[in-house]
Amino acid sequence: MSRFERWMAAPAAMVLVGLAGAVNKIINGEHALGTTAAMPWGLLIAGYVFFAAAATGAGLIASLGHFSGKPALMALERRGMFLALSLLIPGFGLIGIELGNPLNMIYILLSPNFTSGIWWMGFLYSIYLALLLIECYYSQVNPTNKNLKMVSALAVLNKIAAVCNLGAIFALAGVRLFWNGYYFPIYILVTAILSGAAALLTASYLTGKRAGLEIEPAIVEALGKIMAGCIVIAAAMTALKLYANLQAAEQPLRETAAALVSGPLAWRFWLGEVGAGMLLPLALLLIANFRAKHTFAAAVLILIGVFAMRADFIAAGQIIPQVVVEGVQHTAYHVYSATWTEWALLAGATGASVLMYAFAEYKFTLDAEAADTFADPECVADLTGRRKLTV
Amino acid sequence: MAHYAMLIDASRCTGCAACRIACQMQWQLPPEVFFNRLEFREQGTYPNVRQDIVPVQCMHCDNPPCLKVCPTGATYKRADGMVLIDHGKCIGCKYCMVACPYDVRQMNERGVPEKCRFCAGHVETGGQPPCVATCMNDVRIFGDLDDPNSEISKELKRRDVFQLAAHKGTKPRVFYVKSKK
Repeated sequence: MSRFERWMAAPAAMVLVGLAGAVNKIINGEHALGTTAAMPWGLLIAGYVFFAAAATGAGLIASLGHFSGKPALMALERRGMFLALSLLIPGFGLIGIELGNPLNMIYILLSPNFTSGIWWMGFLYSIYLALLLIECYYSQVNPTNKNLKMVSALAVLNKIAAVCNLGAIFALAGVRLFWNGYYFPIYILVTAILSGAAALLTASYLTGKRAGLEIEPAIVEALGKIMAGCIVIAAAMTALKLYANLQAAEQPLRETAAALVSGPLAWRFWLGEVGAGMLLPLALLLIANFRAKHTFAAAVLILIGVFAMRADFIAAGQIIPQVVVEGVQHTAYHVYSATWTEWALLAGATGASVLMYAFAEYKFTLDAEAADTFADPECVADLTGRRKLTV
Repeated sequence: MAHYAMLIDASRCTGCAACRIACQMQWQLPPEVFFNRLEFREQGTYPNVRQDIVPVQCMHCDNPPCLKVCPTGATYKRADGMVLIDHGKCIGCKYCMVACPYDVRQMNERGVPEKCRFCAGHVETGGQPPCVATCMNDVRIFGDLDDPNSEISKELKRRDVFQLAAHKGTKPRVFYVKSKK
């Protein structure tokens, strides 16, 4: 067994665990999940949002490379597209398993409801998948095709619309006060770019390591700066949102914010979202001045932290019992505990994502080419986006 | 065309839950799935306290949030006011459960978030919903608002009523008699 095959054994095992979860969900339906009538959305929805948003973030950074003209970002264009594909498809798998009747999806086409955020999600992410496949195809077969520019421009608009709509699904749920408003569409866009950049850096670093290559410092710095910027924006948004909600006139808003800050969601909020997702990676990025190892560590922490963010905001929107009859004393919080099936499916999606990306790295050319990337012939040594460790 | 609605006089409710069981029998629901529930509310301060029991079910809103969010139109509203579900179209995304301000949707065995059907099919042939027919204290009155001679039309004119969570703009078709206490 080669070193590469040994490396791939872990994600392959995760896929098998995920398949066991999928079989259990198919056999036992909703009973296999920890969700309830009071908290109908759980870890699988959080997982889907994590994968779909990270895929969009990675895709947006790939587009940034296409249109910005910055060599460091241009070098990430193909890798970003293939990584987005490797994140999006397992994400679709997660939501497909979560649905009660996935075979009825045909009615999204046959009897569409245009007022539904989920209809728009299906529409926009289907287009995203199609555009990604076209972009990936052209990048391998005919990278200089003149239509690619138009496809990429369309893809940028589509990515922004898709990820903002992902936030709007929650914002337009109507009766869940914590999710209401313009906040979540923007927050998901910012954190999508954050997780996309982190996933891109993790993938570039690890695949480079395997090949005995070192990631190009300019790329580390570019992604590191994107991550640092997004962390600062996300931290400011989170702080302002929670401060405003803690002072809100509406009791459910105050209680939701309290659940995050000092209630049942606090451990995940402080350790995961704030610690792993914001403070530690920001410190690593700034103190180490975007050195590769430290930036890689920050990226891994960010991925953990952003997953905690997804799980937190899904739970927070539903955790406070709704007031249906004034004066009825409810329990303080609804309870949700993810089952092994949900964790297994999440592990399976992660494993599938790693395997798909590794396959793409193995099979296709993900490094940028001279003609596409660097205008300056002096940069030829860096065309692959990496340089030899020995250089 | 009929316009169905329900009037609930919660002050008459004893909390026997016969309405819930009759509904479960009518629709052959498993024990953990129910289309109506009772909420218990304590009023007053010791020693002058009392307990109100408030039956809650799908309000068959005229402005139903569950209908707006359903991606396939599986949730639909009939001209007679009933909000129903086309099981064949439902993908089981549970968006309707998240959007319902009354928490009345329940996932059934087939992965469809179910709820009270106002006993469509049964009431058009002149029958009463079992939750109405079985109640020993006549807590619920079901009928046609377009018929001025129906009991519900007369009672709605005569009595002071309110709707649950009306401030959310859902325009519920289930009305509650205001308590005199």
